[in-house]
Amino acid sequence: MVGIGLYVQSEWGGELRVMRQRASMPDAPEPFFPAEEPRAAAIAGSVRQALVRWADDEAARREPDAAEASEEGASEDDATAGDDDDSAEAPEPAPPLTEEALLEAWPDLGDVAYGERWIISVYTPTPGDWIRPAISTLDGGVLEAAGRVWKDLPAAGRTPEGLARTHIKVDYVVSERPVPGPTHDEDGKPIPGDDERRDPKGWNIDEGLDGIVLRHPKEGEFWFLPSLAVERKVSRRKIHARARFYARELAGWRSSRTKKAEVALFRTHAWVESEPGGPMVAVTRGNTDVPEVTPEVLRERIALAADFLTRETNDLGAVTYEYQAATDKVPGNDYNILRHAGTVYSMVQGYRLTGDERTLQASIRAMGFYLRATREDKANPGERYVLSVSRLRQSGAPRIGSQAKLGGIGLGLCMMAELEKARPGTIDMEIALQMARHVDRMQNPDGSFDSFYDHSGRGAKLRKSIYYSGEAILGLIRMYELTGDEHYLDVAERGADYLVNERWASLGLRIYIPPDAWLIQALEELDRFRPDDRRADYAFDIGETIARHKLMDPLRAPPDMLGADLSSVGSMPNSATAGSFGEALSAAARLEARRRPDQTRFRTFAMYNAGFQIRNQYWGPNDYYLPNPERAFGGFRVKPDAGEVRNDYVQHNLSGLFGLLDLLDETAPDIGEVVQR
Amino acid sequence: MSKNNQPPGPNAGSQDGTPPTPPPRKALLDEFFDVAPVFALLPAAVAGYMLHGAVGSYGEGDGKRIIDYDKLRDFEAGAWSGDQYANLGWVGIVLVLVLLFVGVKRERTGTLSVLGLTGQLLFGVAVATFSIAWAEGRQNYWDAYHFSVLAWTAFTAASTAFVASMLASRRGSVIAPAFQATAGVCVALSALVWLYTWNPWLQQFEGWVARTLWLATHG
Repeated sequence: MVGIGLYVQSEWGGELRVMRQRASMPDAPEPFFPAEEPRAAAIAGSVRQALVRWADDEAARREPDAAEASEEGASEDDATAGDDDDSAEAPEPAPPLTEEALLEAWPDLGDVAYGERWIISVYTPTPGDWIRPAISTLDGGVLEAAGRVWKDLPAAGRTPEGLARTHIKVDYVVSERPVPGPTHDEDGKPIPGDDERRDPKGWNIDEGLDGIVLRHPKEGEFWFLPSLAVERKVSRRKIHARARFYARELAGWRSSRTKKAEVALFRTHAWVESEPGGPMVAVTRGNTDVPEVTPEVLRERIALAADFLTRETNDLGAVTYEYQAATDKVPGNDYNILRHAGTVYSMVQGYRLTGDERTLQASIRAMGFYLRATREDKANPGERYVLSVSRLRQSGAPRIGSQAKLGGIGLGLCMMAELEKARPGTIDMEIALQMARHVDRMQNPDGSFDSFYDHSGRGAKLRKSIYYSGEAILGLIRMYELTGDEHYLDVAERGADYLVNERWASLGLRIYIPPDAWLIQALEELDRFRPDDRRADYAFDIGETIARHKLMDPLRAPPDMLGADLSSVGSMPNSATAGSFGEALSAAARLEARRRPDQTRFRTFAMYNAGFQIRNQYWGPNDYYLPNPERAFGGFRVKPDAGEVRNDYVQHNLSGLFGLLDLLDETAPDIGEVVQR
Repeated sequence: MSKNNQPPGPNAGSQDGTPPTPPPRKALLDEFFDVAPVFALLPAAVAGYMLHGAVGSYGEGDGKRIIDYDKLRDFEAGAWSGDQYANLGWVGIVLVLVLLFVGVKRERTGTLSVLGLTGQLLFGVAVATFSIAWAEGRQNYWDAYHFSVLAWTAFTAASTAFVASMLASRRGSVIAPAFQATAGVCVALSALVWLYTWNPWLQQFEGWVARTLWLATHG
C-alpha cells in the first residue's frame, strides 16, 4: 500500500494538489473568443487617431518638409467640406483633437459606460528585443489614456512610420476575484504559513487567461494583463512576482508597496488589430482564433511555412536553426544535420504545392549544404554516410562532427527523393544510391538497424535511437517510389517487421508502442506496395498511442487547446510536437481511408491536431507582440507561450499539414507519389 | 550403581566398551529444509543487489551513473548492462520458485512466511529498477527482453509471495497473514500493468484519466 501511495504521489501528486487548490476556479470567459465589439474598435481607432496626429505633429516639428507631406495626408483624412482654398496657399492646420471630436468620429465611444474597465495596450515592433507595450487604462477618457500611452511609447513608435507598424490591443475586464492575503505584514515581512493561501506557485492562475491587479492607496492600481504572460513567456508560477516587478519597473512603484498591495486576479475579453490600423479581432490567451481547417487554409499555411524556410535559408544552404521570435534573436550557432535534411524535405513539399522557384532554389542550396557533410565510405566503396553537424562556423558553413547517424541518411534520402520527384535531374542519383546502400549495410540479420556507423574504426555509440530506423525505412520507401527497385522495399519490409513484431515485444509481453511518427509514415506508404494486416494494425496502434494523450474532445477542451498534447501542470502544450504528431495522425488517417473506409476516427484526430498546429503558426493576426513580425511570419513556435521557432518545428508542422492536405484534397500532391523513373 | 536409573541411550557405549553408534544421517534435502527459512532471505539479497545498481543509476554525476552504456564509459564507471539486470532477474525468478517449492514441501511455515515478505521486496525492487531505467532513457540501450525480464521478475515475485503467505496463513503462521493482503495487491498491480500493455479499454481509460487531470489543472 505504501508503494501504491508513493506511486500515486510521484505520478499524480502534483496534479492532485493543484486540483485541490483550483477547486473554486472560474471557467474561462464565455465565449472563449469574444464576438466583434464596436466599442473596442472605437477605442482602438480613436487612440490610433490621436497617436497618428501627435506623431505627425512631432514629425512636422522635426522636419518641415516632412510636415508638409504629413499635413497633406492629414488634410485628406480630416477633410471638411466647403473650403476650396487656392492650392498655392498653405493648408490650414488640423483642428485640435478633443474628446468631442473623437466621439464624433467614433460614435461607439458613447457606449463606453462609466465604471467599465477598459485597458489599452500599444505594441510597437522594436527589432532585437522584447516588445514593451505601452499600457493605460481608459480612465479620464480616450485622449488622456492615449496621452499616457504616448509618453510610454519607444521613440520608434512616435513616428508615422513606427505607428504604421504598431498594433493596438483593447482589453475589457469581465471578472475579478480577490486573492486572499496579505502575504506580508505592515513592514513588508512575509507572514509565515501564508504561502499556501496566496498560492505562490500560481496554480490558481491560468497563464494567459488571468491577469493580476495590484492596488495600493498611495500608488493606485497596476494592471498586469493576462496576455502579457504568454507574450513574455511568464509561467503561471512566476506571474505574481512578475506583476510586482513590472509595477516597480514600468509604473515606478516602491518595492515595499508592491508587497503590501492588495492583489486580485482578473479576466478580460480582448481584441487586437489584425494588422496595424486594421479591423479588430478577438485575442484570448495571447492568440487569435483561426479559420476552420479546410484544404484552402492548409494550402495557405503550407505556403507560409515554406516561404519562411525559404527566407531563412542562407547562401551556403544552412537553414536558420533556431529563431527566437519573441526577442528577434538567433541564439548561438547550434545545428543539426538530421533536422536540416528533414527541413529541406519539407521545403520541397512546399515547393510541390506552390511551385515557388525561390523555394526550389533554396532547397537545392540546402541539399548542397547537406552533401558537404557526407563522405564516401572508404571501407565500403560505393556507399555513403553523413557526419553530424552540431555547429555552424562563423561563416555559416557546417562544422563537421564525427558521428555517422542512420537517421541522417534516412532523412537525407527523403530529401533527395523529394527533390528528384519535384524537379527531375536535380540530384546526383549516384549519391542517392550510395546512401541507400549504406542503409542496407546498417541492417542486421534480424531486420534491426544500427543507429550509429563506425566509420573510423574507433567504435560507434551503442545507443539505439527510437526514431532513426523509421526514418531509414521511409527513406528507402521513397527511393523505391523514385526508382522502382524492389530491393529497397525488401530491406524496408524486414526493418518494419522487426520494429512491429520484435523491437518492443519479448517473452510474451509488449513493453510499449513508441509514438514513432516516422515509422507510422513509413508503414502507411509501405502498405501501399506490400500490404500487411499486422503492420497496418501496428500503425493504428501508434496513432492511438499518440491520440490518447491529446485533447481530442471539443466539448471538454478549451477551444484554443483542441488537438494539443498534454503538458505538465506548470507548462503549456508543445506545439512543435503537435507537428510531428500531425505527420503521424495524417498518415494514420490516410491508412484509415484505405483500410477502414467506413471510419473517420484518425481523420478527425488529424483535423483537430491541425487546428492546434495552425494556431501556433505566426500568420499575421497573432504576431502583434513580436518585435520583428515580418521575419517570424510563417514560422511555427514551440509553445503558445514560447516564441522559439526551430527549423524542424516548421518541418514537422509543414509535413503534417501536407499529409493531411493529401487526404482532404484529391488535387493536392501525393505525399508518397510513385514516379519510378 | 549409577545414580542415573535411565537406561543407556542409543549413543552410549556398550557395556563392553564398544564405541557408540552414530545417529543415522539425514538426507541432504532434510538438512536443507531445516535451514530453508534462512535461504528464503536470498530474494532479499538479490533485491538489494539490484537496488544497488538501479539507485546508483539514478541522477547525475559520474559516481551515480552506474547504468551508462555509451562506449568507453561503459567500463570506466563500472556500468551495469541490461543483461546484468536481466540475469539478476532470472536468478530472482528461479530463487522464489525453488523456495516456494521448498516451502510447500516443509510442514513448518518459516520458509513460506519469509518468502511472503522477501518476494514482495523483490517485486518492489524490480518495479523500481524498471521505472528508473525507463526514466533514465534506457529504452535507447536496452532491448524489450531486458524490460520483459524485469516485468516477469516483478510478477513472479509478487505471485510467489502471495501464494507463500496464503499457504503459510492456512498452516497457522502468525506473521504470514500480515503479508497476504499486500502481496495480493502486488499481484493485482502486476495484472493491471499487464492488462494495460494490450487492452485498448484500459489504455483508453488511462488516457481519459490523464486528459481529465490536465483539464482539471489548466484553464
